[in-house]
Amino acid sequence: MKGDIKQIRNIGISAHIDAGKTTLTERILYFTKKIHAIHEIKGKDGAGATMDFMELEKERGITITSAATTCVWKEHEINIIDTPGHVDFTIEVERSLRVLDSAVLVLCAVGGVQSQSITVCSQMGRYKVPFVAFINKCDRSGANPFRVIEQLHKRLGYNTVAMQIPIGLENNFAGIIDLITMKALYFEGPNGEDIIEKDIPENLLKDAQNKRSELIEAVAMFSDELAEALFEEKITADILISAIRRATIKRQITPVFIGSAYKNKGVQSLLNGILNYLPCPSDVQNYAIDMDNGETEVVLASDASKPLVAFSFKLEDGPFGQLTFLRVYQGTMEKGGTIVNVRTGKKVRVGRAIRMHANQMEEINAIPAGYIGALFGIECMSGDTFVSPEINLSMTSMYVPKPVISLAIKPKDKKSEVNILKALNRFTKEDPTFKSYLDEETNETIISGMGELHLEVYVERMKREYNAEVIVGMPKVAYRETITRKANFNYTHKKQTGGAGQFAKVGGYIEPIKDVDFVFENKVVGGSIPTQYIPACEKSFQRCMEKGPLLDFPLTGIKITINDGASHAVDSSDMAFQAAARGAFLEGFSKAAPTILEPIMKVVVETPPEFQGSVMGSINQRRGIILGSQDEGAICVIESNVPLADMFGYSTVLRSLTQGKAQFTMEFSTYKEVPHSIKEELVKKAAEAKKGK
Amino acid sequence: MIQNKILEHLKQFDELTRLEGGQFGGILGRAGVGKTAFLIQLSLLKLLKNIKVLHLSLNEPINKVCLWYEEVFKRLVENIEKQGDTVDIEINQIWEKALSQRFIMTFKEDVFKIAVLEERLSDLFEQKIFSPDLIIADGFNFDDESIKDILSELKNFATKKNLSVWFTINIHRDEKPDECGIPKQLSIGYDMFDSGIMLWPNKNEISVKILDRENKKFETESKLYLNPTTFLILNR
Repeated sequence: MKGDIKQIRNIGISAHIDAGKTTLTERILYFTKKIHAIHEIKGKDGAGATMDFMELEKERGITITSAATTCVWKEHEINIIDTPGHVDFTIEVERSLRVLDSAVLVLCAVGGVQSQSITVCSQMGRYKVPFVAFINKCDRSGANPFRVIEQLHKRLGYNTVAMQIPIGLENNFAGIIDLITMKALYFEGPNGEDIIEKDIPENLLKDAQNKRSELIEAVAMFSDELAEALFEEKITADILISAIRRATIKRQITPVFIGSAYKNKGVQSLLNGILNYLPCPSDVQNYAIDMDNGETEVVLASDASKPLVAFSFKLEDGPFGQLTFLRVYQGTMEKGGTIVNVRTGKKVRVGRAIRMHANQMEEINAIPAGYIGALFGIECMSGDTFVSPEINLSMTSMYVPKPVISLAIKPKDKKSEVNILKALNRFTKEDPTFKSYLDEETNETIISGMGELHLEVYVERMKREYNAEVIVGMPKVAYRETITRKANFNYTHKKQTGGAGQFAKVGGYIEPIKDVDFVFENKVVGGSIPTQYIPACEKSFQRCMEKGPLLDFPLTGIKITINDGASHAVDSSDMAFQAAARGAFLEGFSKAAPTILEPIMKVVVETPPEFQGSVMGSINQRRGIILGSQDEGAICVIESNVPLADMFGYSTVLRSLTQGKAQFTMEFSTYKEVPHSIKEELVKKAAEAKKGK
Repeated sequence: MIQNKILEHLKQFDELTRLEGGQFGGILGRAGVGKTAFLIQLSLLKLLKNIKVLHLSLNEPINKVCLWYEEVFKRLVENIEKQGDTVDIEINQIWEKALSQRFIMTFKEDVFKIAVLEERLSDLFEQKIFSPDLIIADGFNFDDESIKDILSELKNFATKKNLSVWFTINIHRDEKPDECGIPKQLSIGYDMFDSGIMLWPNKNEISVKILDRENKKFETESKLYLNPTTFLILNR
């Protein structure tokens, strides 16, 4: 590990799906000589890219988990976390950005700013992470890096500054012009290892000069030194680089680099940019809360000699036990040392400490401030803070989005049953956006996550890693039963055929009520029902609410008032009145125009305007009611109320309707009466299910 | 039936606010006098008559517009004498039906262009999702001279699509109207408006004055007025 913290860079590589993050990371590892051969994602050699070490990742050609590695460029140590682009695996991006000092946002020169690039940018904003942009795939047909720069500015509001301009595009993409040195760079050799510097081609000189002027003017807004140098016409490369660096770290500007990772062009320049413009750990202020001092905010020092403050951001269960990934913000995590988990208050001894390179480990003796490492044998949760015993500081956790989609699963066979539990315990511990629970109403195991791909991957991992095969279905919708009008009841429970008998009479009315499940009111006067039996009546009515007479769904929105009754001196009892209450309930319920309610979800879709019509059509097809659309220029927000029963599979539909550019959120809104046709269908299914039993 | 009672209650209001395709109406008043509540009641009335309404709002989010409708509908229903066990069911049915006839579109003022509105509406027409008969437009800035161009474009569009449009028009206490007593905000595009209603605070109520278009005056006081507490339209 590097001794000088100023020579460290902790960066994340983030982007929308398929922008080229993993390929870029592969090239970075190659040019920094961390690896000696380039392997393509889903390449012909079958090896797959280095950072996609999971079999599933190699097979599908997608990054599923974030992977950390480290490399050295010009005597600087660069710790990289490559993250997934799918919104389903957003937690990986969330946790990585929480602990990194900066990021490289990769954009496709053809696709430009896409939905997940927008999400990633808001995630970077949440943690105030400075970043540079890399416009990749400049060799592809339709590549237009200037359009992408414009999008970054207009759609996301970033103050973008082009650091380079391309020499040719698409098939003719030959190299780049560096606007700092005002030289043309060509990447030659079998893998672009040799950088050849030449004079700028005559036909591009004017463009280059204009772009350079734009760059200088944009940065001079944030740098008095540069503004002065501009005024005096004495701009040097050092002054310019220094001004760009300061403004980038403060998130005042976003430097943009261009290239093609696949064609091995521009990667080395990006690496130089990472060193020049992105912060080292001591450039970034990190905060903790002092739990012993009224939770006041404390600035942490990137000083290895101070008391330890570290943050665990990822857990992984492996063959050697739980691996806890941590970022050390202050002090040093030493092997054999004692640390405290602030959340639990427990003291822990530091066992083995390691550094990761994708799925390979390197044992180390300590993790100093500014570094990311991992520990074995520490029981904790993601988001826990570890400190030296003498202090009590806590770091704010990362944002964990709520699941949006659920599936019911059941074991395919007996042996899978036990393994499923083990798998679910592990996955839910590692991934806070993946939840599982037993639905008591329907008796199904429900798994929920961020998207269909998310759940699909876990189902596949259950099979591969735990030998647990599951049958996947859809969760049963949590319907409810209720009544729509007031009805009277007057029920007598009588069994007096000889010996000890039972007698109880309960009279009153049942009526609908809003916003609550159940209300009981006692208006009995004159002791027609003795006071001691009133609780039994109430208890019985409450029990009736658990399973409705129509289709066994729980009841809601019912008020019961009892105002009359009769009892027998000998034959009345709690049991008799419970039976009478039950009979009264059924009598009143059947006369009160009962109906079935279904959950209605508030669905909000964000889509580029060109897909507005298709999206609205898809909502209409799902019995949705569109409340309206909010036009925000580049994005249209459509709000609607849609029955949950019709929302399953919608994420896939939306993705294909909108080329992956739209996203949606869904939350419970209200219960509403089902249409007659749906009611008939439910009755039919219930009858079939009963027959089956 | 509750729906009939509401329609009966608002019969005069309906007559007052009738427009043909391509025609414009303006609801004028100072800030806070009740223009939006008036407009929402107008919208609800038309919705109950099976007229499809596009509610166009500048700067207000969808949620807020929805809340306006819920609140005004709730007050309308409370104001009507109701009997029978099935009242709640009926009210729900009326509300659901009204929702299905209504579409809300909100825009940020700085990105709003008629061309964009046309494009959005065309999407809805073509996909057979929604085809309005009436547009109600809230939040347009009639203080800006450029409103004349917007009105002109919208007039062409409304005529082409046979849509009528009601606007809320904010006027200011400290501004003098023109020599006819017409506020400057309406004068700008006067020729394009076919109907005008002025809401005017008057002792314990808010008077509803009707525009005499030919004589260019807001003189005739209607039998309708607004309750300053509930902002419901009432009949003397």
